[in-house]
Amino acid sequence: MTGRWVPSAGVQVAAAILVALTGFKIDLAKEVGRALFGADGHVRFRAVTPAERINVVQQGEVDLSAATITVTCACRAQVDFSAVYFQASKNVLVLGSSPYRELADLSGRKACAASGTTSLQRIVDTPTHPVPYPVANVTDCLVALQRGLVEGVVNDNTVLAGMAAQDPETRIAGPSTLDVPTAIAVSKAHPELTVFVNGVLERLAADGTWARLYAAHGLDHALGPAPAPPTSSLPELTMRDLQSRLLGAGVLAAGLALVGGCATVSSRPPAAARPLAPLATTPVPAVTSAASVPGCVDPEASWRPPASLPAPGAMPAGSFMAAIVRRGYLRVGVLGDAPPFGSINPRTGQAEGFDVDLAEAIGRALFGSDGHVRLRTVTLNERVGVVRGNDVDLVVATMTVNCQRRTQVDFSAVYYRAQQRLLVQEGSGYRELADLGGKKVCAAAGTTSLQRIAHSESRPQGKPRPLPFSAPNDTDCLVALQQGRVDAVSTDDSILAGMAAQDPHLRIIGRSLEEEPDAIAVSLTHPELTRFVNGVLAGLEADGTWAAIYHRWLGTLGDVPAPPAARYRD
Amino acid sequence: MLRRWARGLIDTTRRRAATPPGRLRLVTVGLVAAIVLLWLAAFVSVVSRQHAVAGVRGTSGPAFVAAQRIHADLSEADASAAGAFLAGGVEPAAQREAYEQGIAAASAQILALSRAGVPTSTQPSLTVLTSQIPVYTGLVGQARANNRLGLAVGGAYLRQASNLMQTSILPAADRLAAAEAGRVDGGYQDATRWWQPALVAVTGALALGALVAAQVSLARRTHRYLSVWLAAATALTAIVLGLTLADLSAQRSRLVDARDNGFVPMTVVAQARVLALRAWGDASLSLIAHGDGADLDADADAATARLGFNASGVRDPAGVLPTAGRLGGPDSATRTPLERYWRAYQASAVSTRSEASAVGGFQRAVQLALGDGTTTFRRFDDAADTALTTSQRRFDTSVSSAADALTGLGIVVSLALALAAVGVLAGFQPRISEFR
Repeated sequence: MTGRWVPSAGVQVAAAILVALTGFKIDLAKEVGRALFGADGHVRFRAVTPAERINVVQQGEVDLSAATITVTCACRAQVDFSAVYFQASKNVLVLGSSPYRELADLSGRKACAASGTTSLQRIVDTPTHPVPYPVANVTDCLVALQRGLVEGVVNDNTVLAGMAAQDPETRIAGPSTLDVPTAIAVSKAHPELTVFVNGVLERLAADGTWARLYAAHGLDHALGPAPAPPTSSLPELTMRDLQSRLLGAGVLAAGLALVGGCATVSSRPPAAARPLAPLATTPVPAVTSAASVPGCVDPEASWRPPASLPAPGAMPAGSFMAAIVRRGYLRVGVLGDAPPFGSINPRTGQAEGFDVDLAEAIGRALFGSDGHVRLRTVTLNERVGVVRGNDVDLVVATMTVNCQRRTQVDFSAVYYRAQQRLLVQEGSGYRELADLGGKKVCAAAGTTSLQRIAHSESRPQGKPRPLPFSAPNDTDCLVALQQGRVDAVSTDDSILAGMAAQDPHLRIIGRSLEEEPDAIAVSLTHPELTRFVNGVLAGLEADGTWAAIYHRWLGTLGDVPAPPAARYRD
Repeated sequence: MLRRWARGLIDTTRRRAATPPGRLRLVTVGLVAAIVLLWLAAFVSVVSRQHAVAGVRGTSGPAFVAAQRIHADLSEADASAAGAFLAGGVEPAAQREAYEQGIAAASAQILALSRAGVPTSTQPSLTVLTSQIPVYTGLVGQARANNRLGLAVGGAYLRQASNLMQTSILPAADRLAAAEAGRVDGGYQDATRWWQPALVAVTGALALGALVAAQVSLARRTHRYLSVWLAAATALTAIVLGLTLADLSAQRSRLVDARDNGFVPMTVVAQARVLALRAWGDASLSLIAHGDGADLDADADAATARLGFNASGVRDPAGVLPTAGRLGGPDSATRTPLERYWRAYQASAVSTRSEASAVGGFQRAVQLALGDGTTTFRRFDDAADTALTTSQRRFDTSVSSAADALTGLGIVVSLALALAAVGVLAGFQPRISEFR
């Protein structure tokens, strides 16, 4: 041994707890120890995290750090490096089922790396902006990937190979660039130790030990056959070379510091200041087609009510009504912006309308008193879903009965027979749907009205069809009409009456395009509730309550007609 | 022609170099030329940097700040309009005022921007702003009037207004801010070109070296050890070199300070504020939509996730608010409370949302949003506004002080080097005269 650094009891080596290459590195360190002492058992290991692997060498806590340290100029300022003992590639570990082929594909996705590593820097530097997800230890990344917190893990292919071995659902993506030099870190205070380590590495490469260790640790399985060891091209390093190199490095560092002190400054806004893309609207699913459903003869036919309704508060045991009474309130979905059937009164903040009055009446029949109905506003599009999902017990929301919907929810007897008509600007000259050929007619998405406009057949030969214009809600159609973006709105006459009441310049025109029987939706799993509701409806129609509700909300449409006749299928 | 001229010059030089006084004259010319080169390098560096810093300080910097303000003010107006609408036909005065102030402030900034002149590439964005904001305010006005009358169509008008704001006005403001940020970046690079101090150092070292060598050789040949003139010229050259390098370095470090403690926090905090306003506005609109808020809720979640918190409040260190909290610097105290305030608001927003989708909970949700939700959000927004204003001011003062670092340097350098050249001539003239 020449130089000042004299091994006493043993050589202290830091080895990061990394899942792969650990054995390889540890064996390399043992070879260094064997070369120093001529015997095994003189190497003591200490586990370090990626963030501290440089510091432990700098502070003299260990003699060597063999913790897959990538050789960079920045690190070189802090510690000395041995010759490169492994050329790794920076790759990305992704789930086998994911489509990613390289790190650049993870644009806007989270990619994991340990903090204080060149891998994290690689993520930040990728021009497609993957989102860096720093963790303390490399293994935390595998956990994050398995838990779906990140879409990829960036690290040397050697480390990733170890992870992939632990989880068969993952795969290594990205080209094999072999451009990440990995070396052993040595304190700058002991250049002679660096020389010595280099000598050992060179011998290991020459006598085939390097290739043997490579294969012994299974790296050939994960990464392919052993490449030529990078140390084979290591030039002979003598002490004098080293000193002149150190001197050169010092001059270079001084020069770099000078240039660094006057490097051109750039002021790009940081990644965190990137704006977020504007609001995305989910497309409304296409209207269910009116195609006939086998076995559905009369969609209006509902379950016959019991001969006599149970008294309020005394529902038959085991029935769904009994469960509702036990719960203490009835949950009903109503519309929030469709006067006069269901709308929130801006002054009181309470829902009100024809549908709401019906819901209150059903609540009274269940509980015997007011105040047991809890309302939830729903959109036209989610009416079926909230019943099927058991979010509400009933939906009273101008729901048109048809065979298609009947396969999803049960319907009560028809409580209102709406006529689909048209709303146009006063003085526009339109009298029928046929006059609106080639004009835009608005209806809410997901409604039968929209479907009917789209398939309108009531037109003279040679004239184009009206163009359906879909809006999220009925009121959005009113806005579009007021702004002149559409020529007409088509939906139930009752709702059109509500719109006309908000704007004196609108007129309801045309004969009925279609009769739309409205009924209350109930879950298919509770036919006893459907029967009960039908009984309540029959009672309301018989005792004049239905007529009173009609008069209260739809009086502007004219005289109160006879209530729709209920039809039953049993 | 050129070759003949060059040959003539070489011939003259050879002839002069043949005699001792001719050699001294040549040395004089060389020394003066070295001083002129130093002057050129220093003067060009100083003037071009002054120009670039003045651009950042007077044009692109204020324009960037204005573009960011426009974005924040418009976001504020949109969210406040939704909050006020939610309260019903009679809007709370404070919310209404916040809306009007937001629109007024944004319009004033736009006017100032267009008067200052923006690059042609961003003209379309400015046109979108000036043409669409009146449309937006018109829609909000219609929404209010309908709401006041108790007509349900008001909510639909407000949704349309907000949609216009979010999908066309705010992206235009984003493009404007991005373009101005690009100009700031260009100004920064022009104001800190690495080769300028390098050139000054090289020419300065040459001039100083030549002066010293000339004096040493003169002393050896003529045994006159000190010429006051030449010594003064050397001292002046050294002072100019040192002063120029020091001032260029000071100017650069102040610009770096302006970037790290002003520009970067400013952009991050502005983004945090805009994202927060968007999440708050979405929450109000979702309530106004009476349950038809799935898209709006998803958008609020996306904005919150960018801020650094997922729907269940788990912190993402890469988010905007944690990033803002990590930025150090003298004003970091204004940014640290942001995360805490946001968490308070988010807790309130989460319970508002769960109330709103609960059966019968709609009224309670509205009360919660108008009460606790608004209070907690305002606290966050005020703190974010303070942090933003502070870092904007820091940016402004640091850029100004960077500009001050170079004030008068051009004149000092020119005068001092002119004197140095005179000193060289005066120092050699007696030696040349001795040969007569």
